[in-house]
Amino acid sequence: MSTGNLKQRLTAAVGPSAVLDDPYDLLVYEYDASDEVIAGNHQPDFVVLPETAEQVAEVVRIARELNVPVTPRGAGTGLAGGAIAARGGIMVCLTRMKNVLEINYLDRYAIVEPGLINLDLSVRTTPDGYFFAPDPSSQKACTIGGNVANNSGGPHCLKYGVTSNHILGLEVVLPNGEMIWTGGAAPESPGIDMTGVMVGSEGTIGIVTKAMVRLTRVPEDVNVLMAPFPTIDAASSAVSAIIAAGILPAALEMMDALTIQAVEAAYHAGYPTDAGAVLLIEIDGLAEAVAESTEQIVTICKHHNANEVRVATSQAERDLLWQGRKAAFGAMGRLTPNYYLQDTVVPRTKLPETLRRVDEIGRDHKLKIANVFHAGDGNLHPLILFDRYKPGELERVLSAGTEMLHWCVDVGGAISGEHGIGLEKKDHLTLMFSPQDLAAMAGLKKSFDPLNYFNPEKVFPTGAGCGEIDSLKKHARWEKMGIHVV
Amino acid sequence: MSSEADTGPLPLAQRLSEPAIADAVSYAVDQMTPEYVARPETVDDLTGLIKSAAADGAAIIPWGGGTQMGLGNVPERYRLGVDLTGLNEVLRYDPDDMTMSVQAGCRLQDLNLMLRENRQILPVDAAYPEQATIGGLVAVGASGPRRLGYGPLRDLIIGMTVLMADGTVATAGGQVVKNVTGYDMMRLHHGALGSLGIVVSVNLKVIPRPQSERTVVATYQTLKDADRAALDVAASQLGVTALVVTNPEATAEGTGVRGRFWGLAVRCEAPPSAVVRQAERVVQYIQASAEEVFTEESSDESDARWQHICRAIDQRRDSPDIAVRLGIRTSRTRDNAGSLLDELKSFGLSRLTLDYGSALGYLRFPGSEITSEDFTEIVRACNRYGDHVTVMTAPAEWKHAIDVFGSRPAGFSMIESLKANLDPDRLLNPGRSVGRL
Ligand SMILES: Cc1cc2nc3c(=O)[nH]c(=O)nc-3n(C[C@H](O)[C@H](O)[C@H](O)COP(=O)(O)OP(=O)(O)OC[C@H]3O[C@@H](n4cnc5c(N)ncnc54)[C@H](O)[C@@H]3O)c2cc1C
Ligand SMILES: Cc1cc2nc3c(=O)[nH]c(=O)nc-3n(C[C@H](O)[C@H](O)[C@H](O)COP(=O)(O)OP(=O)(O)OC[C@H]3O[C@@H](n4cnc5c(N)ncnc54)[C@H](O)[C@@H]3O)c2cc1C
Repeated sequence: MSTGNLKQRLTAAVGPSAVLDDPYDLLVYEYDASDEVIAGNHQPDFVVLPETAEQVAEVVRIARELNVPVTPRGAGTGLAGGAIAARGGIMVCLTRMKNVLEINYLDRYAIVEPGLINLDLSVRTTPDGYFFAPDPSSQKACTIGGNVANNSGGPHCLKYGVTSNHILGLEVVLPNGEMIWTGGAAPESPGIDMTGVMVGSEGTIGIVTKAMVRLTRVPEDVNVLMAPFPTIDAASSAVSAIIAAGILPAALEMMDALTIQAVEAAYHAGYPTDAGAVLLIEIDGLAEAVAESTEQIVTICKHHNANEVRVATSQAERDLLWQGRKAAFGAMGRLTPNYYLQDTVVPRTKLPETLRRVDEIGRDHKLKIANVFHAGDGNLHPLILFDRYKPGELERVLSAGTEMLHWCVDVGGAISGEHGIGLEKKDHLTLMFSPQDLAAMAGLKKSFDPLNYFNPEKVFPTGAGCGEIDSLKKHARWEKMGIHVV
Repeated sequence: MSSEADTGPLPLAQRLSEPAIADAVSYAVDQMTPEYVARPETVDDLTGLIKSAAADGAAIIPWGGGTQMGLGNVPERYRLGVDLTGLNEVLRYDPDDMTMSVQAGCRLQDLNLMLRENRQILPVDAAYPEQATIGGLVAVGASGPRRLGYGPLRDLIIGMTVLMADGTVATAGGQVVKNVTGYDMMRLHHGALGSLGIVVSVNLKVIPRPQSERTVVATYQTLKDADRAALDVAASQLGVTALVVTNPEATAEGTGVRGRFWGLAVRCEAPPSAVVRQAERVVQYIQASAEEVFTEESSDESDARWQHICRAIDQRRDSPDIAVRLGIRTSRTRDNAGSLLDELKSFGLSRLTLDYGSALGYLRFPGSEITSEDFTEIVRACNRYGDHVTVMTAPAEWKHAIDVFGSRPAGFSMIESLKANLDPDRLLNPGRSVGRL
């Protein structure tokens, strides 16, 4: 099959303005938000930008017939290299499919196209008293299709749960070219929970073309508290104490001193720059319950040596406190040319020792590490700051990252809490899973995609032999970029 | 068993020459009795057993507490009943992390008693928590009225270990509350009715036990009135945790109020002083057209009230009743349930419970009073008004004629290939799940 013929057929399927193959146009599609020196990059042969589910299905049928890999892509904000066309082929970019097709408040759902930007949905429904709960910090840019594929989280999933809990049904194009609806407005429809299986599968077993998402009622009342602590340890014990008291905040986020400095320099969110750590705590729900819990939390924080506890009184003040948190990754530019973001999880009680270990790892490798993370559910985001052009630094970064993964798994945690495995972490999957575990997962993959042409090279570890080749390739690529690995 | 390593699995007849439990009749499913029954007490025992069964090509039906063995199509084959209640260890419980890992045979009530000591709960309903096992709950994948407040069991599962049909043990997920490492195999097995693997142990997140609770109950002359009240509460910001409407028969069983009244029950769970206000505000929302409104003010009574409501939905396996569940979205409940009731008038519908918080409805008919033609008619009518329909219990001879899960779901070919890849010899619950797989 010549690419010329493929181009013709893709053009017939989606129209000429929706097929890109000019290397210049393809350039941005080589990357996602992960650092390409870590996760890798690769150019697709074609990018198609379908406008309807039928077009997606047609593209998939063409790809299947001609045995060309297919890689779905949303906004490309993924941090694990998931949306990179690792074997070239066709990238199906869903950003032109961004309509809200139905909003039904009585039954509490919306049906949206996958390219809809996460925040756009809540912006639409909040005036009516409803919102879409998953709120990744990237919500101004990422798509709901990407959220579904990665089972994304966000600060508020401590109380509201991750994306999976909010997806009622999906229209998907399967690798066999079929287009089906899974799930629906009434739960527990008979059969295997295809919706649940699809969410978090990173585009390896289907392309989401519509999502029926749950809309959550806006709570009656909400309080945001900001509590600076002298040390990370003090803040961590306050976190444990809040949870132990039987309070389930909507969000419970922590930032360390380095992050506070970066955020304050960039946004002036009002975090005290002399604090060792800041907790951002949101409580929502019934007015009476919010009042009762707020009091409890203030007492707990003070008991654990909070320097002060500030309760935001206006919407503007709440927004400002949150803006600082949500833009924290971006603010790192103030401190460093590059950062490598880890996404590990540990049991909540292991937070204090884990943070101490992260600090140690940083010192051992002579690297600065900033921490800004979802403390309530033990999901860390150590940001390893570096300059990729400083000889030897990248290697230290990678080795520090791997040490963190090992530590987190050893204390009973996981290597990704919300960002996914993609290309970046696939070779670390064996830290958590045995060959038998992986074989069962491979059985699932094979059931949907026996030809292994949907988002190939992702999630599953490379075979031992291939692994060596890959790392050689990686080094070659770095050399090309002028990065010298010692 | 070291010898097995050399010679391959023992045949079942040798392994189970003295059946652990003699009375195979008590392990009958849809009147089919197994040749062998075993109650393994370790995962190794279970693995050996399944390998033997696989070598013999013996069809296996796993058993938990047996409360939902009526659910499913009539088995196609059945030689080995595996009672999992011997695997009943709590593998770990970390109160401060609010997580636990339990074997499949652990009973819901035992777990909640243990959790109670740390003021935590697994917020999952069951009509018979003293019997129901975690493995059974996971395999059935049905959630009760408290789903409104706490989500389904599905969303509380953070990891799982499953014995696959080939005798390998596969784990997915982990011990932390947030985790996207690898595929979500937990959701594959949740609700799969044990057709793709035997659940060995489950990791769960638990939640703080609500500090206090109250239940507000109201009665109405008509479904229309009860529906309006339920919709008002549903649209409010009151954050209630369960919301159920019952027909007069179910009202009598669930709330104890006799007479021709429709019932509405609303569960409030919150900190102590907030819950009082919450219940008072619920009353304001629902009292307009009510006949009677009362509040269960103690937490224990409130909890007991819901136990009754759950029992009006469920029934024991040996009950002669016919039970049907339908997906019924809130906005259409009044119209669809109303029309359905009209059509079913002549069949002696006894109890109807409309779970507004879950978008599910449950019907029960006295089995002794209807014929197989009536049964067909009932299922047909339910299909006209439900988003989906499952016959939860019915006599085996009637079930032969239908798929109790209704028509094949979209993407059935994927379910077929999952079965073909994960259980190629169709040893696990053959014929019982959707599409008679
Ligand atoms: C600054 C910043 C902050 C972030 N904060 C968070 C956070 O708080 N929480 C969090 O969880 N993540 C966060 N992320 C990561 C990222 O934003 C999420 O993973 C997001 O869901 C990805 O969406 P996307 O549209 O960009 O998907 P992409 O990056 O385009 O794709 C991600 C994966 O989804 C697949 N995919 C995309 N669309 C579809 C589809 N329609 N059907 C099937 N597969 C599809 C792709 O193949 C790929 O594997 C952050 C990223 C950045 C850059
Ligand atoms: C009103 C009501 C409310 C309910 N609420 C909830 C709820 O909130 N959450 C919830 O999860 N359920 C709920 N249920 C469902 C129900 O209570 C349970 O599913 C049930 O009790 C099953 O437990 P069991 O041990 O008796 O299973 P059994 O009846 O023994 O088994 C049921 C099925 O599962 C299979 N099975 C059993 N154990 C295993 C195993 N270890 N591995 C593989 N397959 C197995 C069996 O083969 C059988 O097909 C509710 C039910 C009712 C009626």
